[in-house]
Amino acid sequence: MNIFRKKYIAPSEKSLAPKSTSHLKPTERVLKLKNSNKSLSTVPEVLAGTIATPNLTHRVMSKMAFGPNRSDLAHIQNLPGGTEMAKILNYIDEQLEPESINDSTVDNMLSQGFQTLNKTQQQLFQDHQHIPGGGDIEWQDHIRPGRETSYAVFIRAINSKRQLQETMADFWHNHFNVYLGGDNVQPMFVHYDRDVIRPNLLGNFREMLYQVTRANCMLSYLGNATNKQSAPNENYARELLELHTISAKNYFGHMNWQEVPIDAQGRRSGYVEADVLELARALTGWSYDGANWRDYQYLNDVPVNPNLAPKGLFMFRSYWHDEGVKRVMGTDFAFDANNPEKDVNDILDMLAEHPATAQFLAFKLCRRFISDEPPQSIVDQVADILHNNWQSNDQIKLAMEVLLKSSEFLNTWGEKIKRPFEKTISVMRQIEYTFPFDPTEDHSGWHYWGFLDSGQAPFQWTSPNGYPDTKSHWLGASSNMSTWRYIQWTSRFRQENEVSLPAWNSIQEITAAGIPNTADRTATNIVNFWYQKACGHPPAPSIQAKLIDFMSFLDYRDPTPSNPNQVIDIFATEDWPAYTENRLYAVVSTIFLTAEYSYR
Amino acid sequence: MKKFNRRKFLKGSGLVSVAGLGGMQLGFANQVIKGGSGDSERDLLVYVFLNGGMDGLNMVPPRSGNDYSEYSTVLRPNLHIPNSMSLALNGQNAFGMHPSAEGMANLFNTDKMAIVHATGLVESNRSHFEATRFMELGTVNGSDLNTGWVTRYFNSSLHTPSDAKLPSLVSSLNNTDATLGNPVSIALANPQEFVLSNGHWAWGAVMQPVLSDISVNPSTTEQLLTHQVLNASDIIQGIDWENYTPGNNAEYPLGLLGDQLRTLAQMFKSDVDLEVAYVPTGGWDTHEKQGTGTDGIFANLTSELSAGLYALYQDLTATHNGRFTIVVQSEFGRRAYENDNDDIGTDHGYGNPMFVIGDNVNGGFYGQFPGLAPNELFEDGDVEATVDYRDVVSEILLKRQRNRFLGYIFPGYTDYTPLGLANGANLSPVYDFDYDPIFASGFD
Repeated sequence: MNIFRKKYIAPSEKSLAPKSTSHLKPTERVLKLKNSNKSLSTVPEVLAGTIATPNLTHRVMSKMAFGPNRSDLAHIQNLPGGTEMAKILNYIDEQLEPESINDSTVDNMLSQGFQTLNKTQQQLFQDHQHIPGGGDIEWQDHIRPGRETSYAVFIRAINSKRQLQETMADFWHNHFNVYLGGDNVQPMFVHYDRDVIRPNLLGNFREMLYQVTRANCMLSYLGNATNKQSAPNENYARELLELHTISAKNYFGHMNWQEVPIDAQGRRSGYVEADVLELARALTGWSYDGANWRDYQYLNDVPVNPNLAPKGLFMFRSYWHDEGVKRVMGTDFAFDANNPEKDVNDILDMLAEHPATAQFLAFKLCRRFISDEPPQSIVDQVADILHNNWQSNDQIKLAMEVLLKSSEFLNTWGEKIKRPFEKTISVMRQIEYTFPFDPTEDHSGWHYWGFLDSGQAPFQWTSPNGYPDTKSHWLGASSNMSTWRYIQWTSRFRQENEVSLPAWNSIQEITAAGIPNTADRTATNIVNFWYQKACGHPPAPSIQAKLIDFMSFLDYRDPTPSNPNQVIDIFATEDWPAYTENRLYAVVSTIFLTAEYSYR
Repeated sequence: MKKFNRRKFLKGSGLVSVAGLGGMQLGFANQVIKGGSGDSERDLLVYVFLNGGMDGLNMVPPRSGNDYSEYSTVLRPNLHIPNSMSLALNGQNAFGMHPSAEGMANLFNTDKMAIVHATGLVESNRSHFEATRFMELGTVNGSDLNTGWVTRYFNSSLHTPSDAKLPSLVSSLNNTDATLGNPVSIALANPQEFVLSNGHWAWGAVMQPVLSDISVNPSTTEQLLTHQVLNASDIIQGIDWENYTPGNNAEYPLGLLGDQLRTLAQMFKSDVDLEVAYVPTGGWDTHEKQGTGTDGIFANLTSELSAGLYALYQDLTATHNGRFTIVVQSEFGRRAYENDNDDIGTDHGYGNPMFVIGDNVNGGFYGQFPGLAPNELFEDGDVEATVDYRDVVSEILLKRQRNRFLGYIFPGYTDYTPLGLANGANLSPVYDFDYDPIFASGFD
């Protein structure tokens, strides 16, 4: 598998939402802006500014969840505890036990139009990759499990009460990244998400590592499925050390392994090139049924026996396995004919127990939930829990409890920004977007394809290191503009794409509930309400004034401010030339595009 | 000459560095020095980065001698490009081009392309992510630099106009660490859609000016980003993207790379002061199913790359003869021996050719090919690297971009050795990391 794949889209498959019509024709736009005197290098002086800090609940919901929505805020408000902190600690405890949280809304949505989420691993392979006895599979069927998993991610992130489960699923999917567009990945992706990543997202790392190493998606993506003794393929072995466990920080390159420093317990503190090759040798023969052309030779029999068809399940190919001793990081691992997975399992034990792995995982978790450069003190605390409990069933949960209840997590703000997926989902939660993501509906495809250009569509990162998790990567202009355009679109998109039908957002209803007295629904109050709700603090005066002006415009052909304290009928729709409903959506979505909204 | 600390200078002048960008410096050196537009006659540097590890041995295959017999019989019995298929290159018969690289062979044979043998990092690193990051940051190992090499190029560029409209472009959806910490650089794909035109037909178009208004006086990194993105949108909307006729009737290949190259070419010709265009392009990590001859993944990628480079050269030379240079590099080459005989491919390696294209390039081969005999391979398996890739880049920076501050752009680099592959001013390099651009410009 080629990990740096190009992102081609089969033209026949691409179905984008139609473009909206600007009131300027393209030619007018060009004329208007021709000879723009803007210059990117005359950067304005950035005056040292402070970032306003929202309350604890808003902070926690923005960092451990995909942002607040009304029902989760109400739920937290009703939890036991005399203080906001007590309620939040109770909420964290609840979230650490996701299976105890009722998630019927999500369950119901996932039963509408989804066909593959409950199929067994073998069914997925034999329905979507290779039909026993041969037979054509339509492209749409081939990719259906992957596409349905993508829709399910949107549904869960937006609607699930188990928000920590969803942010952890996102974390581990990126840690063990598999590109959805890779060969043979789409048909099996339901299995990867459901059976490999999710069972241990708050469980045991060693077990997840084992399941990943056996997963047909990973075996296919990083080529280990055809890794054989005669000429080992190092791809998976390298990433297993570099990206999944010991980390590049402890890579000693072309040094002799004897020169790698030893810690107090006698462990080699890192790995060298020779270790990559030795691990690749150990992994030879770890494959799945259907990865090799020989698995399809049954088709040449007369008559064909469909029971001999490959099943897509993990397969240890002893005829490819190197049975010699492998020396990885200074320790020898022997092959055991009675337990042929033993050499790899012993190595996985060593890697999962290694303090460098605990440090690496702790650093990444703290980077995800706290800050791009988290304080070493909290990283050490989390790493200690991971290391001391490496064999526990609730290892990751114990570590997350320490992380989420730390001052570094609870009391900081704005050290991270929302990446495109987090920003988009948090907007959908803010506006209570009710679009069903039913896989059988065309408009689900519009949402899927439209989001690709954001640069952070689920499972679309092509290389095995997962989406970058530092601010600097996400300062790209295209990624920001594409995310903004997507938010613009979803904030106004209507059922059946029909002007006469309701929008999928709940902005009118939320505004009415937030400002119950119709006489109070002025431009000023609407802006203040939505800004506070979105950003968790009141707007700065200069920003407030511009948004209020916008909300007070009454004629799209002549956008000049009117009385900001005049009552607005927020349910007025298609009221030419004010278009109040859509002006409200435009003002609210503008708030989501501000810098202040990007913090988490 | 007194050393003057630029960071202190900026602090004293009231500019602050923004924590989120890790001490980024705002504006270019010459903004402080000159305060006005520089000369308009600048070269465009196009930097094409082939992510994944391009297989240089099959891109520029040996055609004769011991290298060919090692290559075709010992190392790659199944995967080699036979000399009956590789394209001959003028002046020698030691190496040819991959049969799908007709455009590149053509550029070489008309003296517009230099091939530099066996380039690489000073220290081999077979991790994609490490090797790529080191190259993007312009460092030889994992230092804590918080600016990329292109960022430092601009910080120390004495002739980029201080009011340059859009000098630094990453022609891609994804950003690169080469421009890390540069608030002026933008990562851009799909220029036609680089505008907030997706809202309601009546009110959606108001959002962009309102957002511009809100971010006009940025007080945070994120506000500055908004400000820059919207400024870029204004500049880009001023270009007529729908009607572009490439020079010399050049035909860009269909696909992402062709789009990336055409976008930068049109941008360059639209007088927006484009000076460095960085073009990341993926697909080269051919562990499996690499393919042979003109079939397979590698041949398809090569065909697209070659056609793209040829079209870009033709397009630009028609109107800007001698005013651009294209540099092509990958993070490493691939293992000299093939890895399998089923789904055949190659693993990560080391030394690899670089390509430099332009009217001021002296076509031909440069550097020393280390050989493919067992005792000549690095760690028994890779092509050894014999040329520090920074020598290749630096020669272009000095001669074509007229930037001398090599020690600032490539920290730790002290031994620039020109290969003679380009024409231009022979400036002497400055190796200080903490150099003083003010004195450097005025008193040298």
